Amino acid sequence: MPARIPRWLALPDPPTGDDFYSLYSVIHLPRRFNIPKNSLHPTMEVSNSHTDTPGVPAKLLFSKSKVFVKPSANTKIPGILAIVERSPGDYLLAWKPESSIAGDEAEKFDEAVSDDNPATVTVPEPTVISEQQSPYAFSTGLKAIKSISIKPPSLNQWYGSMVINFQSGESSPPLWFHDDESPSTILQRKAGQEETSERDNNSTVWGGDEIIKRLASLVNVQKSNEQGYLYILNNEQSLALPTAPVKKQRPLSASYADPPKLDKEPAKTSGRARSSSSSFNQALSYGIYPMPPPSFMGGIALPPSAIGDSVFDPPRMDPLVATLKEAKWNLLEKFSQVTRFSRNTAGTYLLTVHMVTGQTINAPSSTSAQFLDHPLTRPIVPLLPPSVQSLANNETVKATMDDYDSARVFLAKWAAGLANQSEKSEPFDQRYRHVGIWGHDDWEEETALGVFEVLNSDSDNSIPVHTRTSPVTVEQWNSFFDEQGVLSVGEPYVRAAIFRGCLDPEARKDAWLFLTGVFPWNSSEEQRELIRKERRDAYQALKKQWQDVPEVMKSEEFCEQKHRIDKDVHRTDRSVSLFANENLPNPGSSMYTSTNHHMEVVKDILCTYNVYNKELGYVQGMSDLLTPVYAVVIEEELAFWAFVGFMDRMQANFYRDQSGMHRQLLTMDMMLQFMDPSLYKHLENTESFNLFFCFRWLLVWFKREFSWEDILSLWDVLFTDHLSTQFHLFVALAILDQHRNVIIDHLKHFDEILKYINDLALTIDLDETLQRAEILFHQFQQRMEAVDKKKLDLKKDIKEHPGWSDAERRMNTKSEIGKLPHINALLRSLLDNSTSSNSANTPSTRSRANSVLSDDAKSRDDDSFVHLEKSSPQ
Amino acid sequence: MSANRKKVLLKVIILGDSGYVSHCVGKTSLMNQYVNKKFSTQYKATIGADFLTKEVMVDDKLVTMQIWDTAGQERFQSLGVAFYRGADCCVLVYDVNTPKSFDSLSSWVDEFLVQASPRNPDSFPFVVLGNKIDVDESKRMVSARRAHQWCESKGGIPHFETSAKEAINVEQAFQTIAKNALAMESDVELYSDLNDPIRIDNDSTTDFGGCAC
Repeated sequence: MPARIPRWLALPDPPTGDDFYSLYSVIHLPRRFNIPKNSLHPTMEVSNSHTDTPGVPAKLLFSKSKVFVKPSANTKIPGILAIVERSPGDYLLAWKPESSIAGDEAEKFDEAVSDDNPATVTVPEPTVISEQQSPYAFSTGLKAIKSISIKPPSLNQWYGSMVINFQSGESSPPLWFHDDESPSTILQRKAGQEETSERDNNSTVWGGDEIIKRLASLVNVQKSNEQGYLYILNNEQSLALPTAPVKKQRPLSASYADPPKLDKEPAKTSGRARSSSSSFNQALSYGIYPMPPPSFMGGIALPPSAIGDSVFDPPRMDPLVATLKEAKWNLLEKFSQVTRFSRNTAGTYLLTVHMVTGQTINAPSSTSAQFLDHPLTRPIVPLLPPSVQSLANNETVKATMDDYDSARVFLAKWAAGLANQSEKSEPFDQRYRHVGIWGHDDWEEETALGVFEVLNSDSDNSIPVHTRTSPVTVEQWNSFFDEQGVLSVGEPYVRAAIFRGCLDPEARKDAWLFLTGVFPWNSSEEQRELIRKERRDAYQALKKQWQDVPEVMKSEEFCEQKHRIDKDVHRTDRSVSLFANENLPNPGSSMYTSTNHHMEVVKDILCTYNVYNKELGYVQGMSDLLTPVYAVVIEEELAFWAFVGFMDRMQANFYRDQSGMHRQLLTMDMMLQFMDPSLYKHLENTESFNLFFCFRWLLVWFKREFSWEDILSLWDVLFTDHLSTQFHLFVALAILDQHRNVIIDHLKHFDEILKYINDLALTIDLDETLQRAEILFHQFQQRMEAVDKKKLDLKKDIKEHPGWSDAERRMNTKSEIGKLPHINALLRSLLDNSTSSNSANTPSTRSRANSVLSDDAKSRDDDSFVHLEKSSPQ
Repeated sequence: MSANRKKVLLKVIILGDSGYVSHCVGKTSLMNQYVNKKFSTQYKATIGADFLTKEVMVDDKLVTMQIWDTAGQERFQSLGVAFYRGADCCVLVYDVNTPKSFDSLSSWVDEFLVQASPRNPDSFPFVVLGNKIDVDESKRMVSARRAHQWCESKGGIPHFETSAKEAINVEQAFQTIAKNALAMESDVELYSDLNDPIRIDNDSTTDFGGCAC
């Protein structure tokens, strides 16, 4: 009978509308672990069956901490999985959440796991958990367990898991073994390494592996022949499931004395006095990972038949993953900085992966050599096959490494790709632990301030999560409006929905006309029909101003612009089908390429804009901004006005004095200094002036960095002004954040950084970036609030003690204020959003930012304003 | 790593008009023809700046040329200061079919000298390229003679007529560029030692040495 998929495996519904903040601030309530009470085996007691009975003392035989239950994508409950002996021969397997364990009891759980301390700690029977504590806690007699399905860690799923299938037909939730967080496992490994340092340490323990071993020492455990990682317990009468051949069903005790025969000396361990279970462990680990040292490859290549003689096939990890985990452990010993570590070694893992899987490495051998030479890689080198090792010593390869182009930039790109892959293999809820300040372990030191108590908390609740969800469909879009076509759900709601999910292509045209300000949010369908008519006429009138006036057409100024537009349109988005073909002769006299209808319309719109916005005119880059708007709206007249609305917020980028771009880069600069001082310092050291490498990103809203489809989605988000009218700066920050370790570790010069950033084009994962950007926004907001609060508190201190005779104390408080990060008008303007602005219908970031700036300029006590002026470019 | 192998990095800036009364002069095309041996009529307008690198032998010496391509519209030239710094040679490109792009050369020279402020503005190496000679001869607006004269008047700037499209004279022009840049680089060799971009191994050791215990 195959294991049932329990109902609670289904993920919770994606957040909608009003509960946007519920995900952010409140952990999602887990669904009930649904086991019908009366269907249970008598020895199995579900948590909520006795709410107040004290536990029966039981002998703790084995326990494992950091075993998680994950009711939803965003919720995980750490707990302890334990095997206890209630009375001789009466064993229980129990899981309870860590939150339900009192402090002193927790120690016992951790101590008991050590092999050398054979577990005679008495603990309350872990079945007594009140419903409120966790609906997932359970305890079950081993006899009530029918089978256990195991999923060892894999490249897709970094943590291994197991599901317990009861005789009753029910199943437990998957229990996830976070071995690298489990103190007992870490302890155990340390002990293991000391004891077995001379032995080749190829066995890597993971939780599921251990638990099966322990269970096997208590009851009969067999591996199912048919289903990969299914272990059948208590199978004396051989039931429905076909099992392994009889010879594998030897009593386990035999295996203690008779470990599988291997080439390599198992004798080495025999002299040591160890508990029976640990020698079992060891015997088994030889069976599991019989990799003859020293060749790592030998272990991997070992055919499955080679281990067929072991007692049963234990829940073996993919040997590859085992090795990777092993590498991680070894390196962990050397580099205790866990966060940096996981990124820095990512390259190493993946290098190893490529080597052992025999896949082509997508990088020239020179880069491999570089990696082999890298301090972090050295521990791995002996594990690599000789052919790869020899690469490092190859003279040609060495010489190649000297070439400028293949050096740091290339290496950095490779490292980044690998780090990215490694991050993606992390469980979903772990992925964003590395985002922003939580991923930067040196942050505290950099700011030299202890003000961010809330931010430094390890609790998951303080880490913002993203709210990205699926696109707004045309049905959803229509449902936002009532019968008169008036918005019925509120403008902020619509903006938030689009922000979180982008738009389905069919819903995009209408939505963009609202978002660019062509249609007011409170208009009815009837009013919009009038607007359409009126805008069409207005456009045609504007168009006539150049098309029908020979003096204009012939003026040198206009001709110059016309040619510039022609030239640019013919090299903008030509790979997009709309602009790809050339089926019309080109009317422009000096153009010798053909054209098509859409390119001609785009040219007309740009020429009209050139007349409409005389002061600015057409500037290179505008064609990049128009093509998506035109492709979405298609109607020439409306596309023009949508473009005008868009340009209202973008035109500052094109000012002759470049003040708009300087302002943006300056804001970005301050934001980076505020959010990631170490990266900022690194950029300073590399003389990466004013973040010029972000210039292209900001000028045309990442148009050159993403594919056409991604740009439409990205602009959906940016148009909403939902969290910030300058959310694009958080997108920029997110991209930098994603690459910050690579930049810091590998790129030492401005030109290298520029090259690296330019070459990111079309390699950036939009979804990932938007998720990260949202989290960074919330982090930014939290930090701003924390700094403000601290500043206010300190100022209040001074005010409330006017009679402080202690001048020193006064000075100290003042200097503390001075040490706080500077917050100026530019930084503050990043918190402006669609609702905080009065002019939501006419998006003009320029006027908004200006008003903010002048407001703040008035309040002269804001010391940071001076700072702003000081650091402004000349 | 063979640290004793002396590496030279030459920084070359390409300047020239974009968008005036005709197409741009072809800076990106020239760069791509030289480095990648490719030509396309559909390079996107350059935004900001980018560079390509190429290994080249000059007088038995292997040097790396880093060729910088910048946005052509005058509006974006205030960004130049970041990119021009430390240049070893400046390449001025005009379109032989567009007199205006030729007329602008003087202002490009001035602009460059102001923004890059090289130590030796009088002897700083420029090279002038008249591009797009593949276009029909009847459209030719700037004669070779006129360009030569101008170059002579500026102290003998080397001048080439090129076609990025047909790969005419591109290799030769860049050889000269490399040679002149190298001469420039030798003059200031004293300063360049600090900037050897190859020393990865040492840097990384320092990075990780602190936490290994």
